[in-house]
Amino acid sequence: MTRLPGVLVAALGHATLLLATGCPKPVAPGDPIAGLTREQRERFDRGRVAFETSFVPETGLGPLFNADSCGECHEQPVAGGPGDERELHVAAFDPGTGFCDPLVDRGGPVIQQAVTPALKAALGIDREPLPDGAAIAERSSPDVLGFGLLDSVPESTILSLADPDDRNGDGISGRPNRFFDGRVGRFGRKALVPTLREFNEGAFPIEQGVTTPGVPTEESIGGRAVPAGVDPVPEPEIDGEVVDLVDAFVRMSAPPAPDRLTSRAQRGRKLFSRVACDACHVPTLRTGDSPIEALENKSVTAYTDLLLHDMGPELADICLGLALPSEFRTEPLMGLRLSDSFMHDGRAKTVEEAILLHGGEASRSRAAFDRLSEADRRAVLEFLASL
Amino acid sequence: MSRRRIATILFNLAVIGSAWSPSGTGPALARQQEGAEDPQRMTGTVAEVDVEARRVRVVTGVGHATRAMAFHAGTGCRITCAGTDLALEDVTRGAIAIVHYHKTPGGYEAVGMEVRFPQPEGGEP
Repeated sequence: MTRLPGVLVAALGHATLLLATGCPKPVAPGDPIAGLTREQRERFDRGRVAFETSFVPETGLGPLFNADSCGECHEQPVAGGPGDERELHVAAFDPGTGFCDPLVDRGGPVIQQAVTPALKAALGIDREPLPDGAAIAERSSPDVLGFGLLDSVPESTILSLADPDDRNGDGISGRPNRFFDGRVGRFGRKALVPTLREFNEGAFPIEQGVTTPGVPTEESIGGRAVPAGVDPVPEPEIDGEVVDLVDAFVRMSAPPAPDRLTSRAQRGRKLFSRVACDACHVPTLRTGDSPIEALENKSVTAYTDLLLHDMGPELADICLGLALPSEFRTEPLMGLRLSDSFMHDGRAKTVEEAILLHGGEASRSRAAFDRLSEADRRAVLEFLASL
Repeated sequence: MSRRRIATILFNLAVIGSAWSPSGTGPALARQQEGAEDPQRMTGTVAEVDVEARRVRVVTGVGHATRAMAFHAGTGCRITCAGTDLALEDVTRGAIAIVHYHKTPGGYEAVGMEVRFPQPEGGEP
């Protein structure tokens, strides 16, 4: 009789144990959320294909772009995970009036870093020019796993967590950002975008230069119109079904399940709360109604309040919507272990470094973390590494 | 008390209509710009007002795909805030505007504009 390899024996044993105990299979990065219908699962799978499909100029890419597919930037270790690409955003803030100009007429707020050969031939540029005098921000590529759950959190929950005037005196004063039309935002590092659908659809033109039914016009080139003859595909360059499929994939992607906590990590979780990191990185949010039953009335261990917080002058870069240059949305920590760089621009190479870069409203928690014993700091970091 | 202040208070007391309600679908520039209804409608943030030329530039978009539309607001364009008439010079950067407009050979002609002035939700300034 042939002997089974040890790894296989262990895997079979593990599977038997799971079946025997009725435990659900742990959610791996890239899995869909549990409880989808067969039709939803089929759209999730087709959506992943669309997410990873590369565009070329003949199918709509460019003439300005940052990447040729969604999956080029959201890729590690699976489609929808974080990536190592950095992009540039610009804006101009008027401190006198508090008005934030996203510099649309000068190519903002997203400055594309690549051009098609036809645009290079026409204008002799390798990237979109930066507007003179603009504030510039780098942005890393986040993971988007679990974003469907964040989209399903009721707006009333976000507003209930806000404390703009710090009435409870804890030094934390989160406030919502609002989109240009006044709706409460939640997606993006500055929480500008109100819905996942808009976040996903808007990414096609700004990241890939692909126009959609909802955004049927190309990005300008530093405010200038696209020269004639360099964009061979009529607008919109993709139909709504492609947007729907990518949206379905992102919406129904599960957040990676946290690793099982060791006793030290359990202690770290308590310390995370004791030093009040959870005042902004709120551990769980509850979803509300959703057309997708699997997203409805679920707890999402997101570690965010989806609000803006002042992070201090050292991190300040651009404004966006109502967000001041120093204000950033609390970054969700679900899936944190998939990243190898941290903060909104990836400047921190370790989680500990990221914690120590927190300023503004987070200064008190940062100092409390810094005062912990070495063993306690390790416990907090072990907890965070489990997310 | 300035007209703008009165208008702001009136607005805040008013029942906010469906146009201001959060929507699950959000704006689509295509629908706003090429919809069948006439006049068409768009909602965004006022980025620039040129009183002399009677031009208003409004920023909107889908997600981070931000777009600006420039409107001519002739003297026939009624500008209101919570039902109170405003002059074009009362419209300031940062105001949220619902613009009703026609597309003309010369550009976008605003025929009506409802504005509101967002109240601070904390933070500086």
